[in-house]
Amino acid sequence: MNTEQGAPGGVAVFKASGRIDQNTAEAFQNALLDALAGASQGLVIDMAAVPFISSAGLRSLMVAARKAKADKIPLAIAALTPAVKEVFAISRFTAVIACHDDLATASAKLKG
Amino acid sequence: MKVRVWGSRGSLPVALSAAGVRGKIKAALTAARGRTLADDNAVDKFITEDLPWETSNTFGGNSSCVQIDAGGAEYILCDLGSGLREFGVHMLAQHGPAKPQTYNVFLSHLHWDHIMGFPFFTPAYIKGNHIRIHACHPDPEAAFRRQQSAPCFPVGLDMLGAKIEFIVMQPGTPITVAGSTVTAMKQYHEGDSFGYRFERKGKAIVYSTDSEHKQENKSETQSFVDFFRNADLVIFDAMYSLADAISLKQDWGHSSNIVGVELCRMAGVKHLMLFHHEPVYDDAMLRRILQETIRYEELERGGEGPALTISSAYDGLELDV
Ligand SMILES: [Zn+2]
Ligand SMILES: [Zn+2]
Repeated sequence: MNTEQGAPGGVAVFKASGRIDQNTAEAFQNALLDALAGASQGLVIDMAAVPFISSAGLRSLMVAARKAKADKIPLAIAALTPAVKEVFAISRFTAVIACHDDLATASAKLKG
Repeated sequence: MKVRVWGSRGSLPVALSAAGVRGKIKAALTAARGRTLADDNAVDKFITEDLPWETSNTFGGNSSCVQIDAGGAEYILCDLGSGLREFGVHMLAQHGPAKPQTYNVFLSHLHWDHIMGFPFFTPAYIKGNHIRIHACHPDPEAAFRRQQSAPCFPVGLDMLGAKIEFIVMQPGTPITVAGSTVTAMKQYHEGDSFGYRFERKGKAIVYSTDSEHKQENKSETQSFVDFFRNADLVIFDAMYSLADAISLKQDWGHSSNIVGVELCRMAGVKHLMLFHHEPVYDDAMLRRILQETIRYEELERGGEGPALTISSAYDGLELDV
């Protein structure tokens, strides 16, 4: 899990990796909230390296979405893997956070 | 053991509307187009094998009432929602009014949708019948008295002919009723609710409705995993989507299909039954949720370990455990 800052004043990218479930969700959430704190212009969560997410991971995303809303930081998700895309649909999470096909589209949306 | 669902809906009874019936007929006729269906057998076969479940069936709309048959002569019921009325009709048809029966009830809680069937339970009006209502709430009788007093209902509780007993249970302390060992557990729900685990001859059925799982700490999750442990069937409150359960409807006291799968998989449960259906969902939506839940289980399991059987409760469903 790591964060890459984009161009100064630009949108930051948080690269999540690995299965996010009850064993890993806490670390994921902490790292994500840290990334959010340093991303006043917006944050894109890159999910390309996440093969599966369980309810624990979705709860972490919900916590981040609430924090982002409270702090007025634009937040988006990009590049869901097929299984995670299915979990988002099944859990109705697609209505919670904006999901985009790739990083470029997500960043453009946040800047726009 | 056997389970029969008399009411599977949450919060408020609902009925299939005229438009809903028409939609099913239209879908069936459309599917039958070009077929001859020459005799009754062909028609039955078409209905059973070719029509989608949501076209040929309905989930029904009665609120919570589940019968557990542990093999004894006495009856066991979980909750007294509107499904109880039909159970009463069935009892009279089976035994007639003259043959007294004993009914052992286990109440998840005293919310209206879980007790509203009682004033319409004909066996309660018949002398000789014995109704033993088990609950973990301190004064369950008060809720029944209030429900059957002016201006809510014309017949008071004291006017009923059956012997009605209220038995307060302690969570975690098993009791033996009608050949089954029953253990209660406290759940997170407005005013508290309680789940029940029924065990007999190595089989276990858990009835766990109106229960929100916040999963904020591991010990809370673990206590439910222990309660569900190796159960043959868990009847589970899956009223909301996960997104709703942890955002808009947080603290409304209900859970989701996703959390049901995860808890049951952690506990080594054999069969998960989705229950306490959202009243606004139609048959097609509830069927879709079942298919999605089956898919989530596959994704979560990732090909490892035994598969969890998943079904969705409907009024009239019978299951051998
Ligand atoms: Zn309820
Ligand atoms: Zn309730």
